[in-house]
Amino acid sequence: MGVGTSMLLKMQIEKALKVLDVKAAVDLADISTAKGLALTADLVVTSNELAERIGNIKTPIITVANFMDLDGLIEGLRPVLENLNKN
Amino acid sequence: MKLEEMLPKERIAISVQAEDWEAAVRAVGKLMFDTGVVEARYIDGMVNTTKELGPYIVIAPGVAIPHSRPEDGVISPCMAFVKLASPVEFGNKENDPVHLLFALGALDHEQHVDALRQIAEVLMDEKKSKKLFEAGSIQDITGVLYS
Repeated sequence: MGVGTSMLLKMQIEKALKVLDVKAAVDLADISTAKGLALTADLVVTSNELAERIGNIKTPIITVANFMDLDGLIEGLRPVLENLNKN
Repeated sequence: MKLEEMLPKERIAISVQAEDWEAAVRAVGKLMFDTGVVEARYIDGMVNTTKELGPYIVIAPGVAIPHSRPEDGVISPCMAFVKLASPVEFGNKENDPVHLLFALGALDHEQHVDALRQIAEVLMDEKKSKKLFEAGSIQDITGVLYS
């Protein structure tokens, strides 16, 4: 798993980061490794269903329903990234 | 790898009858099996992945991308496409019901990037995406995907 869906989401996140002019490393994780990786990441982007499975962590989580809605993703990322920059 | 090679017209079907999501996933998987690019067990793998991640594979309104792991029987990197005669529910509140399925069979994580990028370009383009949803022939689909 993680071959198709996460790759597609990763591509969309990279496009959004380019628009926002933010440099970041985007790593893929399947559900078995997601929680571990999520703990060390600055930000997690996933779907509603999988966000529930990652559970309660301190890392901010953005959920995406429509992977093709790039504008929605950009607007979702913007405030979280601005907040990260402040810290 | 180009989309035409990954997804030739032999692996594109329209007006496919499926009574539920599992039949839809099996129908798109059969296109892969019949063209010799996956073993039969890959179809079961896609069904199991969908059971596990069901709603997650519905990546946009009306569009699902069923797939499984490379070790589940991928022979060569491939995709298949099905447009259903009538849509089915996958359990994704925002994006159900599903009309279009792009099945993926990859041998490694990078292989699909080019093909996925092309599909994303099509789906993000409102006019092209509309053409896929309204396609009445295989030529309508290839006209959008290969352009």
